[in-house]
Amino acid sequence: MKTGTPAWGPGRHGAAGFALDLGRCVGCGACVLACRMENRLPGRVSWRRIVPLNLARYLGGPTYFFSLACHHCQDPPCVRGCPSGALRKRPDGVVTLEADLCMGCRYCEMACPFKAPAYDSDAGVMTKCHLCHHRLDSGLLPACVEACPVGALGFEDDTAAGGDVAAGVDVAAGGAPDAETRVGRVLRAEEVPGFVDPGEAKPGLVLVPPVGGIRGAKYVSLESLLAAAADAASEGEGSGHG
Amino acid sequence: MGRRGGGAGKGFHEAPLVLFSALAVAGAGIGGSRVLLAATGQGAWASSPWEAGVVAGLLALGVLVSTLHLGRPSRAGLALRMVGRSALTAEVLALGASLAVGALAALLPPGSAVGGLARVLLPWLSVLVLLTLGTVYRLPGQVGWGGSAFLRPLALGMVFGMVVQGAAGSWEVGGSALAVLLLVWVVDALLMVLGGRKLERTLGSAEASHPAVFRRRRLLLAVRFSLVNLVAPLAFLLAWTLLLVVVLVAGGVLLDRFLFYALAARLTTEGEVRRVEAALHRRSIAPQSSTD
Repeated sequence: MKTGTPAWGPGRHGAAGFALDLGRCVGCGACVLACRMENRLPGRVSWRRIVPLNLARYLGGPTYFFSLACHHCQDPPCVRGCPSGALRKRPDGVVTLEADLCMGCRYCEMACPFKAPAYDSDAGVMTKCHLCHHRLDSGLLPACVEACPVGALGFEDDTAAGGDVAAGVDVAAGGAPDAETRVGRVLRAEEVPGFVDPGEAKPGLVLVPPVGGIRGAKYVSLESLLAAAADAASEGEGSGHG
Repeated sequence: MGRRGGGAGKGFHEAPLVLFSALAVAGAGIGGSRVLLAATGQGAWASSPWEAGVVAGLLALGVLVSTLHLGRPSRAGLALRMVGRSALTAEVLALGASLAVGALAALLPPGSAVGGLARVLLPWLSVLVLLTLGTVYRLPGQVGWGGSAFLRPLALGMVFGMVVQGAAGSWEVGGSALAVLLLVWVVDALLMVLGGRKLERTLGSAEASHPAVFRRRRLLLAVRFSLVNLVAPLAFLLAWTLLLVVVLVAGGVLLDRFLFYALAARLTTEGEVRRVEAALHRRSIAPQSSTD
């Protein structure tokens, strides 16, 4: 899902965040590497991570990879808690951290439910993903989105999650679907088994499930996932699957 | 002081916070227990100069130790920038105010009007400190820090304060003050039990900050419970040396604060993924062949 060049710039107001197509991500880590290189992150600091689900390929269960960074929440607990004001949410939706105002108390690290802030022990300050706003301001995509070789990672802004949307479309720019567009229901992150949202921060992440869901089951709850998996196991046993 | 090189990347970086919060609970507990004593008719509503001095001293030491946790201690003053917005700023303000008022209460002569006002204010500011020590950690996703956990510093501080006041001869053992102390002990025990049960119930999707300690949580929590809520009250009621009871409760305060940070567990995607995979496994679903 490569979105087109976002309509960005000073004075823009809205929400922002990443979009992840779970049907495309193969967990290669190119996004993690691109982020490290773009932002010159020191050795022990990483702003993006890959969390695989069902790498063991339990029969009937899906396997996908979460590529996670800061979700630039609508009500970020890190911003609310920061005692020095180093963390702030810009009008364009990006949550930034000003290192010069950070005293390294690590309170944001405790407050963030998504493990976004990372402590740089050499500098004694916190660091975090800033959505490559320096690239956005120049009309470029975030480094991780640009680097994704399969078009799984995208950048969405003001996306109305929960509606039908064609992946691969730049929602903000109103672009048309390309030839390989996969239509999927865009979900709020909390609707996907494996992703945890404590429910207060309103993360900006949107997730697109694999085409067809899990044997047709919608990604609405762990129970539906397990029921579908049990059905698959029963079918496997009935056909003499070993 | 500039940057602390090397800092606390891995390991138990919360160690300075354990010491800080133990000192703050102890100091504010001594100050705040004055409210309980006065309410039961066992003393004045104002702290004595020695009491204020001990409170201010413990808080000052705690604040000093807390700066060791900062990656940039020289920027500690920035903690006051978000008044009215950050719970941590509120905690720092409460501590600072108590420290300043405590110092005035201890150093100004008995006849001083300002000193007198400070000695009346100090117990209430101490209660505020104990409350902010708890509310600062009401954070989304932190399994063991929500619910009634914010009352733990208040309850434990009051237990410690009352015991210290008793050892110092500030109240006569017996009567309403004893009943209040026993009640606070019961409240503290209840909070521990509720917190432990909540932790066990929500473990499925939680990721522990310190897994090695977390694996031993039941033993450690039992030790803490026994120390503060069984041995210390028994020793008190059996009229053991009050100084020994103080030592027991002080040890319990330190252990309690260590466990507060060491048993921190957060709901994370990693934890939830583990839960989903465990559920898939329990449904007797075999791994697919690698040739699939």
